[in-house]
Amino acid sequence: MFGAALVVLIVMLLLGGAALGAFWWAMSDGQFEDPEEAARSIFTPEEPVGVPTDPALREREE
Amino acid sequence: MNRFRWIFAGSILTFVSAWCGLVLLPVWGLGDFEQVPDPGTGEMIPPELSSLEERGRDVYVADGCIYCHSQQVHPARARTDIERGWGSRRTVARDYMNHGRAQMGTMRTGPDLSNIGVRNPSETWHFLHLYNPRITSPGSIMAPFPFLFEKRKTGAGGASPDALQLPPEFAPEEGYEVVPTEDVRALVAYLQSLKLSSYDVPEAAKARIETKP
Amino acid sequence: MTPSDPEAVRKSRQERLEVDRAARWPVGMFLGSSLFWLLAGSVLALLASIKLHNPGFLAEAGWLTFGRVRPAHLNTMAYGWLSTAGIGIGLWMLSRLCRVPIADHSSLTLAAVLWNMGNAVGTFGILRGDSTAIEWLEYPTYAAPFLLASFAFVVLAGVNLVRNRRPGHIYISQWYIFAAFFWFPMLYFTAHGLLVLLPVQAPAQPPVNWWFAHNALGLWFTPIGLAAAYYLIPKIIGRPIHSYYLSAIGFWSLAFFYAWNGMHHLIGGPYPAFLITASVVASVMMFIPVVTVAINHHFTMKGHFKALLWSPTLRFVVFGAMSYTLVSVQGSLTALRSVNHVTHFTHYTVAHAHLGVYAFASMSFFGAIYYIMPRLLEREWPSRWLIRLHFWPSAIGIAIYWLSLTHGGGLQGLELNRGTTPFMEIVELTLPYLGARSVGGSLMALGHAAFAASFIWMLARRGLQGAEATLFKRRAEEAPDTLTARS
Repeated sequence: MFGAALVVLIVMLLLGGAALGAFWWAMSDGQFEDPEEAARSIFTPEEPVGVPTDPALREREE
Repeated sequence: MNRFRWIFAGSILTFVSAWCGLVLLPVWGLGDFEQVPDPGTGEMIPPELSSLEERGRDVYVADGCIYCHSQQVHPARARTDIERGWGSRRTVARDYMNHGRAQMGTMRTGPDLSNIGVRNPSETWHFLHLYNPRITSPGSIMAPFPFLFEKRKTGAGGASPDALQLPPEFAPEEGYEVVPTEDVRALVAYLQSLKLSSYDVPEAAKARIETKP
Repeated sequence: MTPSDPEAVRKSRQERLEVDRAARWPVGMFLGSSLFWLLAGSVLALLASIKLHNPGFLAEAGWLTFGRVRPAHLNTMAYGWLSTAGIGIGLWMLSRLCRVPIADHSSLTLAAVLWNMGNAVGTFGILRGDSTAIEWLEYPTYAAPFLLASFAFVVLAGVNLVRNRRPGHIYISQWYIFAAFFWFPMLYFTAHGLLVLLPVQAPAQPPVNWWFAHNALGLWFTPIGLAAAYYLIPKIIGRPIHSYYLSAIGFWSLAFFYAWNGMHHLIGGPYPAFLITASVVASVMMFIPVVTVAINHHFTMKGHFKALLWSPTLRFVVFGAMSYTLVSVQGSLTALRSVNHVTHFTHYTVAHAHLGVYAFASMSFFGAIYYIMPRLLEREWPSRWLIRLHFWPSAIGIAIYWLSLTHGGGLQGLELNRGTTPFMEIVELTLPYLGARSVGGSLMALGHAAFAASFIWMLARRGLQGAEATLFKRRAEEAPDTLTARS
């Protein structure tokens, strides 16, 4: 029973370590540099800021 | 962006540390109890379940009794459990060590069952109650368990000694009787074994002090 | 604000179409399956609810006894409806945000089949009598291999999307989804291992059980629901999220505090006090991420609330997001020992749970599905009336559900704490509230039937795409060289 908990602990530490690795990568990749640009990143030239993408809204607002 | 660095690092570590706190610690602290000799009789307590009682526990698990019944007595300073006669003292962790699958429960649509073996030891009562709770407890919303019983033709020699003595509105038609199956016998044996507050385990002394509000 | 570069528009449309078309089969399978389980779970829900005030109802057979139907309902909804929809929604958002079409079609097809088999086997197993009676983990052990194998493929597909993503910003929704895709198997693997496969001793089981169960809500359903709100609200109204900085704080404080909440289900039980206190503190600290989310969504929507009148998809998602705030505030308060003293062991807890899994998670997922399906199928939802017939019964239904059981549960708790009140009187006082819950639940089930009808009708109109699709017809008028193929 201790053995099972130990195995799970090791797995959890490995996965937690992987998560930490992801974080350090994100830091070095500059993910946290420009939050406002990040907020705009979901928009595209086809679906730019200011244009609703719901058909019901487009009927109303155009 | 320096502030982000510390929040983020801490958060990742905390997920694993939360696991250590809420999983590992309980497993290490609450997962390794051993029986102790009873100070009076020398018997090992809390007792292990017999194989019939274990089968009964499996029936309890399979039919989901836990969704309405808890198995944990709280101290008198906190709740009315002791006042309601649900136990002579609050239950402690060691009381559950032989239960296999913990059935502590989180709902009290029905009463707590930690000490039902003390409060209600009658096998006959349990058979009637399980067959249809409204026989013994009018107004109860507990599910009936007719499938834990067998309805069969009464033998030539009359009703068998096992047959349930059912009131007319619950009895089967003429010529039929209702007898318990092995499953419900096991379940009742398990219920009768539930006397969690009865054991004089080391932690019980402190728990007994808390029997008054 | 029309884009000035037609070439950029053409390119981004092409890219989006590729992403949506590649998602059609894998995401569509998960979303379609989730609706089946939503219906199955709704039937089980009604059965369970009716049996509590009419215990003789369909009570002859073991298959349908309350103690089996109730966990079957919970697990079917958690793993059959919410998780399946969550996988579909998560994969689609990941694909969109990474700007990479899903490539793992075969493995995701297998994953969908395995996931459905796991749920079928699990639900059948519970009704048969093989429930583990471990709350939120009742599927018998033989269902686990299907679920874990399936999820491995899902995670791999997610990893591939992230690996191949177009360079640039990672949006907050991607963090939530990616984290959730790892958190869920970590939770399930630990819990299944320590509670079902090689169970730890009984006194240690409830902490592990409720660490799992609460985190299934907080680190699996919640991130997907929040990811959906963070992506869809801005996308639908065409405005960026109010403060990206706030959303980052929200994410990390959620990860920070949520994982410690689980013991608040065990207040008063035979556990070390420090353990319970840690969870109570963490539960109250949840105000931080919850308030940041609420502020963010409010200020994003500010000035655009009228859009809720016209957009059904926005309505579902905003209903869900507001419910998130409500249920989390309620949760933080309920974790306080003084409040918990009244609410523990009562129907109040069930109402709270449904405010979370239904008013927040399910309504958010409904909204996401209303957004995603037309983009997968390249045609619109067939009937605005059916959408209304989904939204209103669902919203009114959960309101009745929550109000009746919160009130009834509160009264139940107050009387339980009065040692002189006979138990049977407490049972009697809850009856009208249990009946009202069946009414609310019936309305919710009606909403689900309307949803399923919409979905099937939309799938069935294969040959009729184009003419009725207002979305694409309008776009064709704006940009004559559209690439929306009418194949």
